[in-house]
Amino acid sequence: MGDVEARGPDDHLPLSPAVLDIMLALGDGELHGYGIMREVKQRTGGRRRLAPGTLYRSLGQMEERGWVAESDERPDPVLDDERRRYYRLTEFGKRVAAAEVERLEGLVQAARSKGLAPRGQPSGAPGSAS
Amino acid sequence: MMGRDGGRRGGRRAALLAVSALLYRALLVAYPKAFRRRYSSEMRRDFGDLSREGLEEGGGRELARVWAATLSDLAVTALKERSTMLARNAYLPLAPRIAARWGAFSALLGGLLGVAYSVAFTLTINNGTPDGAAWWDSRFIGEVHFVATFREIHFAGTFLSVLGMFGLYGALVARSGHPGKLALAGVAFGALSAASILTLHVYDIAIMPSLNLWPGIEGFWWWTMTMPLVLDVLGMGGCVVGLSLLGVSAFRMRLFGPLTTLPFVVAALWPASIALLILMNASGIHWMHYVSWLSGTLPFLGAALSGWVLLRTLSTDQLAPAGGVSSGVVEESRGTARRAAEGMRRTTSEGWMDPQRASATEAAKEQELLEAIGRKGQVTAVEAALETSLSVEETERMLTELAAKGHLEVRVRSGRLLYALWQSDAPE
Repeated sequence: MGDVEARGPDDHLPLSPAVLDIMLALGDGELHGYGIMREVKQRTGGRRRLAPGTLYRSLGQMEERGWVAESDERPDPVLDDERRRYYRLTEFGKRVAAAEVERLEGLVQAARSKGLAPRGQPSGAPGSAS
Repeated sequence: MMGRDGGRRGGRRAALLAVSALLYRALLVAYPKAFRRRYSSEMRRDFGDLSREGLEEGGGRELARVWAATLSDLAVTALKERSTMLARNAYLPLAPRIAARWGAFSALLGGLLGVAYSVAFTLTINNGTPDGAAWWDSRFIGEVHFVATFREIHFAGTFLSVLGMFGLYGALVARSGHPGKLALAGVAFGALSAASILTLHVYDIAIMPSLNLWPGIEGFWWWTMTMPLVLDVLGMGGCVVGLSLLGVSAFRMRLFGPLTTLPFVVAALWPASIALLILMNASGIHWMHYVSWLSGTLPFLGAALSGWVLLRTLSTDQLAPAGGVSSGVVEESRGTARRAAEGMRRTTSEGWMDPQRASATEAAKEQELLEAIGRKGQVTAVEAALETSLSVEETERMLTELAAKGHLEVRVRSGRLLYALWQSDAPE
C-alpha cells in the first residue's frame, strides 16, 4: 500500500478554497472547465468566480493527486462540445472532500460555541445570495 | 434602421471578442510550455465563453471586469506554475548526469588552459615589472598577435572554469534528485559570472580599441577603467558567491564528501590568488613578481581539480542510483526493497545520511518502482505510489528522472502522463 492511501484523506487537509469549490462543483457529476466556473458563480451568487488560470492549475494538481480524473464519457452527446474535457471526482477525491467538509464543520461548531459565527444560512450555500 | 444598428453593434461586439481572444492567447505564453500544451486550448475556449457572457450581461464594463480578474489571476498562477516547474527541475535542458559530465570536462579543460596561461605568461615576462599595463603593452612580449593569443587563452580558461559550476549543479541534482533553492541561486550566480566574463571579453576586443581612438569622449575614464573593473568584479564575485552557495547547498542536502568541500576550496582560491598577487607585488623583491603572477594559477588549479574529481565520481557511478534500470527488476524481492526504503526513511529522519547507504536505498526504491511498472505495464505517478511504499512526490521525481535519462517511455493518455518500460526492457 502506498503512502497516498497510508496517509489517508485527512493528511491532505486543509484544501485551498479553489480546490474545494471545484470539488463541490463536481459533486453533482461530471463537468467541463467552463461548467465548473458557472457552477461556482451560480452557487455563490457571483461572489466567487474562478478564473481560467486558477481553475486549470488546481485541476492539474488534483489530477496528479488522484482526486479528479478526466472522464471518457460525455454526459449529454447532443449539447456537448466534443472538444471539451470533462472532469469527475474519484473515490479518493470524494473522501478528501468529505474530510475537508468535516473539518470545516468542526471549525464552524467551535466558532458557534464561542459566539463567533452567525446562526443564519451560511454564505456560499445554494440560494443564499440570489 | 434598428436592424442595421443591431448589425453594426453585433459586428463591433464580434471584433471586440476576437481582439480579446487574440490578446489572451498571446498572454498565455506566460505559462510554462508543458502547462500550455495541456490546458491552453481549454483556457482559451473558457475565456472566450466568459468574455461573451460578460459582454452580453454587462457590456464593455463587464468585459473589462472579466479582463481585470483574468489578468491578475494569470500573473499569479503563471508565476506559481513556473516556480513549480523550477522546483521539479523541469527547466534543466540536460539530464543532470549529462550536465555534470559536460561541466566537469569544462572545468578540467578551463583549469588546464588557465594554468598553462599563467605559467607561460610568467615565463614570458622577463622584464620583471608586471603590472596591468604589461598585459596591453606589446613591447613586453613582442608581437601583437602573441598578446591576442594570450588574451584568448586567458578568456577561454576563465570562461570554461566558471562553466564548471554547471557541472557541480548537475552533480547536486543527480545526487539529491532535486535542485533546491540554494543550488539554484548558486548556479544563477555562476551564470552571472560567465555572462560578465563573456561581456568583458567582447568589450575588450570590440569596444576598448575604438574608445582609444576617441580619447576626448565624455566619461572616458569610466568607459576605459570603471566599466571593465565592474565586469571583472562581477565575474569573480559571481563565481565566488555561486561556488559558496553550491557548497552550502550540498552541505544542507547532506551530500558529504567532494561535492561539499570542492566548491568552498575553489571559491577560496580566487580571493587567495588576488591577495597573493597584491602582497608579492608590494614586497618590492624582484623575484616575488614571478611568484605573484604564478599565484594566478591557483583558481585554475582548483577548477581543474574539481573537474577531475567530478569526472572520477561520475565514472564510479556515485552520482546516481546504482544498478541497472531494467535488469533484475522482477528478481528483486519486494519485501527487501520495502525494508530498504523504510531504512532510508529512518536514516533521513535521524538527520544524517551516509552517501553509500543512501545510494543503496535509492537503488532499492528504484527497483521497487520498476517492479510496479513491470507488473502494471504502465502507471501514473499516483498509481505507482499506490503500488509501492514510496510517496507520490518520490515516485514522481524518480519517474521524471528515469524518463529524462531515456530509461522509461512516456505516454500521454487523456492528458495524463503514463510511464512504461520500453518494449525491450519489459519482463516476459
